[in-house]
Amino acid sequence: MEVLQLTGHFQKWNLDAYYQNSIGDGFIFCAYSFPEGFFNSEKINGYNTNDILDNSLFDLQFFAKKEAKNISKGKLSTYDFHPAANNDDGTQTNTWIEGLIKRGIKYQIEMLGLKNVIIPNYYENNNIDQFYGIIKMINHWLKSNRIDGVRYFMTVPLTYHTLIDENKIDKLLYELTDMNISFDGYYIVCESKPDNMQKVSTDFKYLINLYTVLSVLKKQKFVTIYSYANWDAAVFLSLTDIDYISIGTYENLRNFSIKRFTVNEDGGPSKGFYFSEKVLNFIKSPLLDLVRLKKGIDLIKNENNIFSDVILSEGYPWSNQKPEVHKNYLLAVSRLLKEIAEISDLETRRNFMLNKINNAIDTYTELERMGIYFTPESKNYHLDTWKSFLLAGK
Amino acid sequence: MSIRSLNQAFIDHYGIEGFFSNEKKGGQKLVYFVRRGGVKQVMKLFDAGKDERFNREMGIYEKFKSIEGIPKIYETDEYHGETVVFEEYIDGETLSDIFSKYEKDNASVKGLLKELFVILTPIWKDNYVHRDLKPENIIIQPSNKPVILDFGIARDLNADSITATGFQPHSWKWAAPEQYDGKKDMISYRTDFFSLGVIGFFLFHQSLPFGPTWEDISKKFKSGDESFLIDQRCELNSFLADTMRFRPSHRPRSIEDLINLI
Repeated sequence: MEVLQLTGHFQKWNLDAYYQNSIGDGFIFCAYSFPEGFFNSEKINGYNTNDILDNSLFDLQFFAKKEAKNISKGKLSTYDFHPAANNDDGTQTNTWIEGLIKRGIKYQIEMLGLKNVIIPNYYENNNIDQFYGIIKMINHWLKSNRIDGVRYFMTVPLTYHTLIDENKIDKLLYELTDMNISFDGYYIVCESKPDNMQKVSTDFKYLINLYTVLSVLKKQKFVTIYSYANWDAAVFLSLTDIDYISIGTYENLRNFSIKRFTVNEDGGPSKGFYFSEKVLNFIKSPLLDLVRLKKGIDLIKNENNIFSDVILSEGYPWSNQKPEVHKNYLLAVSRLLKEIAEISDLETRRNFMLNKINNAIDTYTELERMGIYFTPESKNYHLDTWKSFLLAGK
Repeated sequence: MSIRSLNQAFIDHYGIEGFFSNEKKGGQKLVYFVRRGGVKQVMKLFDAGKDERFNREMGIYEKFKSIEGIPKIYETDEYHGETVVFEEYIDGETLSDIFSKYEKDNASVKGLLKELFVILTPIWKDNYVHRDLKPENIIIQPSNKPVILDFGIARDLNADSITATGFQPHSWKWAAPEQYDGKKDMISYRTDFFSLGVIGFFLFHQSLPFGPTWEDISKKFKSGDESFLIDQRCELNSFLADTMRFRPSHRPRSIEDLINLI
C-alpha cells in the first residue's frame, strides 16, 4: 500500500512534507488547482519538476461533465479538452465526452510524461447505463491504443446516492470486473456525505458498500486507488488490501463532494482541528484549551510527531492556514495506514484496528471522567459504528 | 400428414435406415435416434419451426464446429413447414445417468471439470454463454471425454436479447441467482461458472449445495447466505466457494482464474 498526497492549493506544504519529512509515497495533483502549463517550469517550490512528476498522478477531475461549465473558480477550464471548457450546446454528437477523455489520457502521457494515467470520467446518478457505456467504449479504445509501460486507471466517481444503493453497486461491480476489461485498475472517488457536524460517515450502507467495491476490485486483481480518502480509510484497509490511499490537507481533499464541481462553493472560516491518533478523530482547536486546563493533553497527543508537538505547545496561534496543522494530520494518518498495511494477515489486521478503536473509546471515557466533553464533531460519534462494522464480518 | 408419425415418405425423403433407440421429448423438440448412410445420427424435430432461438442455436453450432466437445450439425431442413435437424450422435452415457460414479472421487470430478473448461473456453472468450449447463446436457464418451449438448438457450452477449427483462430461461437445480432473479443484464460467462460449481458439488456430494427443491434454493439466494456444507474429503473447496458466489462480480473474473481454482 502506498500513500499519495492528494494535492490542491498550497502544494508547497505537500512537497515539503514529502521531501523533508518523508510523508507519503507520491502525489495526485488536482487539475482544479493547477492550470495547464503548471508543470512546464523546471522547479516547483524549489523541487525538481521531473522528480515530482515521476512520483505523481494527475486527476483531471471531469466529474461534473456538462455541469463543470458552471464553475467559475478553479483552473479546470484552462485545459481546452476539459468539459469545463467545452460547451455541449447540442450541436455536437454525444460522443464529445469520449473525445475529451481520450485527449485527457493523451495529455497525461505526452505533456506530463506520466506512467500512471488516471482516465478521467464523470458521475452519473440516473443514467447509469450510460456510465457503463462510456467505460466500455474507453476500454474498447484502450485495447488498441495502449502504450507499453503505462498503467491506466479508470475513474469511478460514486455519488452517495449510488454508493448506498446495493443493486447499483452490484451492477457496477459486474461491469467493472468483466473479463474484457483491460484497465490496470480503478481510481475510486466516493461521496461520503457525513451527517451535519460530523467529518466521517457512520452510515452502515456506505461502509459496507464501499468496502465491497474496494475488496471485490482488489480480489479481481485490479490496482485500487482510493482517492479523496478520509482517515476512515484505516477501517477499510483493516479489512482488505488497497494499493493506494490518498491523504489530504484541507477537508475538500478528504471528503469528496460532487457539488464542488457543479456549483461555486466557499469553505467556511475555521481555526483548524487537531487530528489525534489516540481518539481517531479531529478535535476542534478551541477545545484544546479545555483539554490542557484539565491536564488531558497527554491523552490525546500524537506520538513521535514533530508537528503535533508544535501545535500542542501552549500559546500556539491556531489557524487553518498553517502548514503544521495539516502536516500533523498527514503524518499521523500516513503512519497509521502504513502500520495497518504492514500486517499481511487480514484477521490480525482487523484485530489491530479493533484494538486501536477500543483504545480510542477508552480514551474518550477517560477524558469524560476528567470532565472533558467535546462538541459534536469532536465527540465519539463514529467509533462504535466502526467497531460494529469490523465485528460484523467476524 | 404430420411428420410426428414419421411416415414412409418422410423416412424415404431423408434416407432413414432405421432407429436405434427410443425417442425423447425435449423443451421445444422431439428427438429421434436414427441411422442414415450407416451412421448413427440424432434427428430433432422442432415444434415451433424455425424461430430466433433456433437460428441462434444453429449459428452457435456452426460458429464453434471446430471445437471438439460439442456435436456437429449435418443438415437442417424444412419439411412440410416444420424444422428437421440431423446432428452428430455422441456415443456415451449422459452424466445424469452415471453421476454416482463420481461420488467422493476428487480426481474424477476435477478431471471432468477441466475437460468442460477446455470445451467452453473458446465459447466464453467469444462472448457466448451456455446458460443451461447441467448433467442432462453432458455426455461422457467411452474415452471419458465429455461432450456438451443443447445450446438452445445459449446467448450471444453481443447480440440483442431474445428474452424479456424479468424472465431468464434456466434449469432450476443448476441455475445461478441472476437467472432466478431474471436479471438478463447480469448474465455472462460467470453464470456458467456458477452452474459448473453446482455440478462439481453435486458430483462429489451427490446432493445439491443449496437445498433439494426450488423453494430451498430460491430462499437461500434471497437470503444472501452463501454457505453450504462441504465434505471434509472434498478438495474442491476454493473452486466451489468462488464459483458459487451469489454475485457474479465475486466469482472468478477470468477463465485462467477459474482453471487455477482446480
